[in-house]
Amino acid sequence: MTRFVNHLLWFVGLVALQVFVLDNVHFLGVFLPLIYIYAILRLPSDMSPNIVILLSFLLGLSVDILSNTPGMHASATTLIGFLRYPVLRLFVSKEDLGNKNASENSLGAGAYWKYAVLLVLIHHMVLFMLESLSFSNWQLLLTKIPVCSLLTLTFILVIEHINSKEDARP
Amino acid sequence: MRNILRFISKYSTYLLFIILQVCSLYLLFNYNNFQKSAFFTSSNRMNGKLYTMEESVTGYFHLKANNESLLKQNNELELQIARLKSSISHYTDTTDIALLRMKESEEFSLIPARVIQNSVSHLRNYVTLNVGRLDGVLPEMGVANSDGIVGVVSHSSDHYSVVIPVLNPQIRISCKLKNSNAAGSLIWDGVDRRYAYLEEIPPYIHVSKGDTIITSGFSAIFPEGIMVGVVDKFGIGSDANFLRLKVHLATRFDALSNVRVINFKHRNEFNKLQEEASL
Repeated sequence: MTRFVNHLLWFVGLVALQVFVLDNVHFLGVFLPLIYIYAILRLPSDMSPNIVILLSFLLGLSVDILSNTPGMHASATTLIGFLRYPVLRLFVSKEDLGNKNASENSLGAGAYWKYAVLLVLIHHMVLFMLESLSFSNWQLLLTKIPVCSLLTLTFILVIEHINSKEDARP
Repeated sequence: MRNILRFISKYSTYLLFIILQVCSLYLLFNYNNFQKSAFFTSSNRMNGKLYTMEESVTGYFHLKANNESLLKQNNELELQIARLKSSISHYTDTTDIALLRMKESEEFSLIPARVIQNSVSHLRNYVTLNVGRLDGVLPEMGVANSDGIVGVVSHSSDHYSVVIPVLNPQIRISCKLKNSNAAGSLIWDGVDRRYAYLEEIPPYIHVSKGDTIITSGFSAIFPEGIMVGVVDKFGIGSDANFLRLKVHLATRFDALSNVRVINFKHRNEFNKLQEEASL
């Protein structure tokens, strides 16, 4: 139960951080980190894929509703919710997938970052492609995907490190 | 039956994924149909409340800049009043004056509003206002602030409304060059929030850097003459038959706060006439 509340708080906190703070902060005009997907990345490694997909959809939908983009974020997050388990299995053997939250500590730095980078890249790629569907400015699209991914990953790195220090505390 | 159940449980992840993905894409591609319901946008009541709360905190950040622009506007209005007073001083007939006054106030009215949510860093940006249908705000109304145009209302609920600003490639606004009256449409390219492009200007028009661009008044959305920006650069567009002007926007979209919704009183009549004409 406390775990559920913990996930819920992260979920709400990250959506609020994204919509109320980060959407107003912009690097060089067009680049912004999309930190809310960390709520999916950090779910327990062995959580049932069905629940992960459902949570991802709800996460995307809440961001959508708050930023007037029905379906756009939901579509991208549902996709990474679906791909999360296969991607985890790509880098981590089944025995090593504990019931702990996926983090640098529980998966190992190498595996965790490969997993995070891949999912963030897929998410940003799908999201920005959906965003620019009716609008062809591929140079902007091609710069936005890597730059925003880098920003998102930097934020995840910071949060991961704050978290791991808290975990280490007795 | 058992086989179907077994199939569903075996592929439940795939099925769930497909169902939710279809839902998302359905929402995405039918966005325009949802504008009436306004549930999935920031004009719904709960979102409106959330953003009002946020604005009550962040509203203070731009206080100084807002103050300055209000002062500037105040000065300009005072000057304008003085000028108008001197220009109507030669009218002695009171009916003439009354007629003049009526003419000016009849066509357009302004509804003051505050911006409670605003984004500039997305490709499709939106602005949410704290006024809605009960205040008389309806879709297709223009929005401007003291610097220049902001955008067009796309949908409104009872207390809130969502505006598609110039910084969203989904709208084109009819604008013209102030000195030559050549009209074109203003569109944003998604890159820099300070610049937009005025397209479809005929190539024989003489344009120079710094020329003023204003709204054309060709639609029921904006009256003629609202400031849009100044020409920054100009060149041949993708269609070589037209010029494409880079416009430095007068409105600072990253610091929007006080805006006005423009209500054109004869809007319905105007639109009906245009519809009839196009049939």
